[in-house]
Amino acid sequence: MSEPILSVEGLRVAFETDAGTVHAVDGISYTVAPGQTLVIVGEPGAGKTVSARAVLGLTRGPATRGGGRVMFAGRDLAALEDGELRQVAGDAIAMTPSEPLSAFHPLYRLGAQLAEAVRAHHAVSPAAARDRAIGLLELVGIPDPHRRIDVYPHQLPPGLRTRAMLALALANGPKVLIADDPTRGLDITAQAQILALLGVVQERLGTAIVYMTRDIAVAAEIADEIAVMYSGRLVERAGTEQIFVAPHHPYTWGLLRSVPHLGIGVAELTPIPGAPPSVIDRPGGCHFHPRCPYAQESHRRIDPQLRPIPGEDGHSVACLLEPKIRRRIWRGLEAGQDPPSLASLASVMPEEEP
Amino acid sequence: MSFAPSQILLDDEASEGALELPGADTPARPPARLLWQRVRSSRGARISAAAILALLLIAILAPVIVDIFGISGPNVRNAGTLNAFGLPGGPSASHPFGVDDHGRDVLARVLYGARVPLEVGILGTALAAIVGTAVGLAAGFYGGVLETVLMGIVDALLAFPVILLGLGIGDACRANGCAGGAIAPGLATVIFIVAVAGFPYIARIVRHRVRDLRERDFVLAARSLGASDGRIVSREILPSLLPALVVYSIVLIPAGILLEAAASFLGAGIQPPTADWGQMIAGAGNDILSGDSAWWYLVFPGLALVLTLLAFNVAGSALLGALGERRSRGR
Amino acid sequence: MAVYIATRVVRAIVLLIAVSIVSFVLFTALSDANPAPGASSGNFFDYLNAVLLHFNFGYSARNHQSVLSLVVGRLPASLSLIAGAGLLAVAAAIPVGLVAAMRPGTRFERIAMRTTLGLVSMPAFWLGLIVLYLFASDIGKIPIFPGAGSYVGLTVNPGRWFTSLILPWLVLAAIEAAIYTRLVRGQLRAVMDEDYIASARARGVAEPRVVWRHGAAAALAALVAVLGLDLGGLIGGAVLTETVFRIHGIGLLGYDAVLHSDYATVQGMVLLAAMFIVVMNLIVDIGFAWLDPRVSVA
Repeated sequence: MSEPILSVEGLRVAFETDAGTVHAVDGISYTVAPGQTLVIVGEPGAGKTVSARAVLGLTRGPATRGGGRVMFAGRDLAALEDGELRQVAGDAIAMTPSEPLSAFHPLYRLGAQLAEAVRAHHAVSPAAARDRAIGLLELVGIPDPHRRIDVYPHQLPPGLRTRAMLALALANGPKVLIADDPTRGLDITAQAQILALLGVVQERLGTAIVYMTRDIAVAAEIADEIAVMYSGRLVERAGTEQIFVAPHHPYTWGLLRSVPHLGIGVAELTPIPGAPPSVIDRPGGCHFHPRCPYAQESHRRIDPQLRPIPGEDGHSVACLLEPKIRRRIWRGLEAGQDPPSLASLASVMPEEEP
Repeated sequence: MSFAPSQILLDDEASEGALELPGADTPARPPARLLWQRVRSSRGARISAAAILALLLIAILAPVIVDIFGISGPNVRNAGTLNAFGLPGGPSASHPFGVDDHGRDVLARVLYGARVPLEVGILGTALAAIVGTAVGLAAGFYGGVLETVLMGIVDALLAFPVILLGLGIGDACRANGCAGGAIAPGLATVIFIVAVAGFPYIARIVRHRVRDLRERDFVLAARSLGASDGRIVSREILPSLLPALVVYSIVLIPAGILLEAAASFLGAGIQPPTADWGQMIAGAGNDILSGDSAWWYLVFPGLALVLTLLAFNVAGSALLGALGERRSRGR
Repeated sequence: MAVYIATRVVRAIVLLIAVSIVSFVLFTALSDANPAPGASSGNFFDYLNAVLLHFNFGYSARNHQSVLSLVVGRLPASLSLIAGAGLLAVAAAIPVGLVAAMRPGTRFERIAMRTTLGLVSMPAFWLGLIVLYLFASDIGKIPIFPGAGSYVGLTVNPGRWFTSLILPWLVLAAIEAAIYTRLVRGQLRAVMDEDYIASARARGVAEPRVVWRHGAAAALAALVAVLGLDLGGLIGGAVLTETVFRIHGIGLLGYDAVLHSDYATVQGMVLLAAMFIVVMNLIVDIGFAWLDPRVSVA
């Protein structure tokens, strides 16, 4: 694997609200290399969207506290002023929101907005920007681009809106694309088309993609690496195959067991019990312990860190269970057994993480 | 002239009718406790609440205060306070705010004059809130023809400039009252005016919210359990409506007070000799315009009116802010 | 678009009928006074027939002129006041409101918000009298502008028309500008929270362009619609201002009619004002659809 182009280190975002501090993103780290795809998987509310917006400083504001570094081309984007950051945003690093229409200003025509995106970074004539805009619509497979360029965003058929949103993000041939669940709400066929389109674009431009989704099946299709996000943190990170063959985190197991047709020998679909934790009053210790069938008393107190798993290259997990116990439980789950009882685990369970 | 609460229009009409913007989501409403917490932490809200309390005390205790100052009552014509040309005397030790063109003590009239605006503002708005809630609930909950008819009436009323509505009703009821004597000329008429002018705003807001709530999970759940309409409305819908209803009603109070003052100023509201700020300003205005420089009985009732409106407006603004402020989500 | 305009027109017609009915119920049916002559003879169907089909709004009890012709005769004065004050108010409110919204927490914003709240609490009739007491050339302490009763028509003497309107324009505009400033600020603040603003920033659009091209444009488009809703407030303010400054517009017509118990004129004039607003709102709706392309498909 080549050198990473984007490297996020200990990214934090917290909002002050009337009800208390929301730790939306609580120290996440990842890297992505040119031409590679990292998929961040998590339930709604896990902090995916905030982490996506934070990379380009869009979460900055009076009631926000940020932290960590966003290294790109030798610079820490998190330390840049808004003005300097805007030179990178939309040019070398692009972002798409999860709702296509929210990418567009409602009062301006498609072509004007595409041209604006180009001219924000390149001193080209309006005519050249318009030609480029038409080219972009062609690139993302929007039929009849000469006519479509003059419509308002809401006039686009819903099926084309996601494509138009991608055209806007790709306006300047970004080196990194942060895609916040662009296929949310699409049917399975449309989703497959968009994912295929992303693949083509990635091949052509060598773009590194960070893709947020709640759907681990999407990750299976496009990811080179998968990071599982829970309650503002990454709880497991590994190559795609490792995640599906040898997952280590109970939450990842839950995700895999709740999705059909992944070619995994799990006997039946099982939803994850409980609900995602409150972003304000987070559980102490391991955030997942209230929903974890294997949680021990000590897990309420000890906060696990994301650490490499000995003997599994490129695979990290934040779990207090012993690696061999985790492997045993997953083998059992794969074989269709019920989760083992706490008592049977307790005998082999160490009291504290070394 | 701001009867209305353009702020209300902003908040609710903006997501309705001609202004409906596709894809705009309704911001979540804070629960009553959070609302209260936010209001309490606002300095403006605390100061204006104290001012409103003081005003209420002044209105209630006007006779006592007049006694303490040792001044004559609001309708007493003081002999010797008008000069040889019939012009009133200015502020003095015995009449701190001077006297008016009938020799009546202006301070006493300003103190007593707080009664009508507060009565009208509070009672008229309360009536508007009750009628508006009933109309909005009926329209939003049952829909169909009932909704079309009710909202047609509401929209028609909203087309009238409120001051002209006040002028029209005040004029119609001035001689013999209205509705077979149920609405007597004077105070009752003005309360009626404020209620008629105010309830359409409440009705629109309530209908909007009810339509929203009607399809929410907790209402559908109650319905599926066989709860009656009355029970759904009183147990599920009204409670979640209440914080906004209280806030918008309070926002309407200064508008009602202003409408009362304007109607009385135009001669279609409170009639002489009742002490009333709008009516006092009208009397003073006539004298001022004819070249008399008896500024005191123009300035003092006007200041009282402005300070009252300011207190309610600051309170309303703080309440609206607390109600509408979206949860901070960074930029 | 054609469908949109057609539905709006139909809506406006229905509303005109509803307005007439409300006017009849409130001002005639409910009143215990003797019915006024003319349109409001007390019979509901006669009334609707007269108003909607014959544009007969009754006759003045004082001089037996038709109310419609009285109102039309007073229109130039009222429109002079309303248009001038409205333009002044908008011209002041847009820059102040936009800057206040863009600089939250600054001294400018605080002062602007306090001043506007104070002006919103200012009754037009009282402010008008104070201004006359201070500045009117006949009775003022600092006599610099023509005072009450100095109004002449534009066609009679343009110079005097202008100078006589200076004080009333300023009084009405000050109060309306305060309302509009708060509206503009609220609109822009709401718009700047929208996702499409974040998206523009994510594309690297420079902040001034984000604020002006993306934020202010959307806020002002929405403002047009809100101003349409607030037209009644402007007309109400004009009624009071006319009364104080003795400008012979429809407001003073109404005031004098109340004074002389001329019911028919009061009722006819109030109804005509409401109908005027319905028609103006129709125009604003269509204009708004032109400003915001989303509306006509909704």
